[in-house]
Amino acid sequence: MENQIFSFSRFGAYLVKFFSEYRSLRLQFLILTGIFTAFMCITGGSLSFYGTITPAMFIFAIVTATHMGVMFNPRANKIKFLLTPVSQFEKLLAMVVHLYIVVPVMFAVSIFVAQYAAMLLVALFSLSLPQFRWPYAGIYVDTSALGLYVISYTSGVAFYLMGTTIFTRHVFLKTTGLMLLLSFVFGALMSVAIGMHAFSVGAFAQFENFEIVNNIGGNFLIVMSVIVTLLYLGIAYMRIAEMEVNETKK
Amino acid sequence: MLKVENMAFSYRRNEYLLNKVDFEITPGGVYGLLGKNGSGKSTLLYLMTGLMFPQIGSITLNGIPTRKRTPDMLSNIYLLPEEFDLPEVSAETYVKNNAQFYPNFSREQFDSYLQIFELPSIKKLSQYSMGQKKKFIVSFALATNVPLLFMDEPTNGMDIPSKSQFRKAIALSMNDERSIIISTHQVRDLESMIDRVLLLHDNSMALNESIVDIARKLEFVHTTSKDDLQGCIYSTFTPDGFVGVRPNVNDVDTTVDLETLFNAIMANSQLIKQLFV
Repeated sequence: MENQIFSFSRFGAYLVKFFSEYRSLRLQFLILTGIFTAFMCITGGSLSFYGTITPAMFIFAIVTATHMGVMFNPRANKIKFLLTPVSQFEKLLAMVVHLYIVVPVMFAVSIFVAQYAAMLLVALFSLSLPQFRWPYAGIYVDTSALGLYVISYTSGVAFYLMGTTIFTRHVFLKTTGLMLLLSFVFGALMSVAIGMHAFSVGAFAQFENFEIVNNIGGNFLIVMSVIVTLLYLGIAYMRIAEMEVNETKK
Repeated sequence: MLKVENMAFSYRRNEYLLNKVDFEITPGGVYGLLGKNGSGKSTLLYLMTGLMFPQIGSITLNGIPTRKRTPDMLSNIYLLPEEFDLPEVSAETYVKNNAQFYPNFSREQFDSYLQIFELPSIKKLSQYSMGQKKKFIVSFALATNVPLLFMDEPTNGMDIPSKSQFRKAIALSMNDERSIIISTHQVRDLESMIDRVLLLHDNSMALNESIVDIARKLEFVHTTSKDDLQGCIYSTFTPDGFVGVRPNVNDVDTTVDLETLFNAIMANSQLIKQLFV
């Protein structure tokens, strides 16, 4: 008998099904590439990593996490999701893989493609030859703030994934409301609040600002972020495991 | 195989939709789950498949509570809901993606069911009409060869030829190791293939008997003369005359008329229950 929590072969098969049947993945990629191409054409150059890409990716990821609610609503989708013969853990893990691996990779690829697309478009309109060796390059990544971005991304996205499993309607609004409420109530103890703070620091990427966060304690932030991320994912797992079909109206 | 023991379920506090429900699904046979609208047929299907959890009692499949929804348990059941959605992929991709979760899935059988339903080959499932989608998913469900197959109103949306194709496909798929539980209120569609009747009424299982036992204990009367209805527990006037049902005291061999049986139980469930004690 195969392990009832996790099996590589079963999870692999589920991942193939998950991505093959997830309708909007290709559309999302095209839209993203289009937006980046247009942005590069208009601004005429590179994108700011913390000013444009990371906020865009964060927003995109939480919208994607919220959109995963289509698996639980309407009822027909929920039945299909709950009765697919894989474990609840594997179902959650597929969502995690999507949000933490596929979304960042999709962003990287769409930016890469957009560079060449923008270069071609500009060359077309300016009636000049495209310089394939020198596309719209130049995404400068300040690695000192990268860690802060990663922890704010993981905990923030996990929170929205948890919200998707809790709320059946108006998921984005309700999850955002809950996040604001929790941020207000628990303040500095909640990683989302910390993440948002870190995010605002990261967005401007100034070294002197980074010191503020550094003073709070980088290790504390990381530990808290890992704990709350696991907590949110744990709640999402329990929700999926205890999910009943009658929670959703037809 | 599947055991429902002293089960109760309610959507609202202290208002049980199903109460003290006890029955067992054993391998081999088509079970007709009948009941009025709102009697809890779909709810019972959801409870049996682990999509809902009973407040009291237990539902187990080979000793494991269905609410656990373990991969092994899920690969032994298949639920075809009344409303369903197929992904926007090709038929081939759909089969490739989903068949691997059902170890006994047979591609040959799947193709033969598609032939029975006369389904045209298409590029994408979204090109099928609603009725064709239903035939496709029924074919897939039958080809999984799961020991327990649940179908909720499977003939809804099917035209008349499709209903006979459906009966043919079910008959072909049956064997001693599999049970098919069909919830329906269109008893005429499935009358000829049901082996056992599960009838929900007044929040409980009013009848759980095989067709053979029903025929042994009840006599179904179809007549043009009202005088022939003597001793009937239930009778009614139809365009063809009269139909009725009475205790089969003379061992008369009659075909079970599910619609008349259903109406008889709605009218006088206690009396019929006593006959089967």
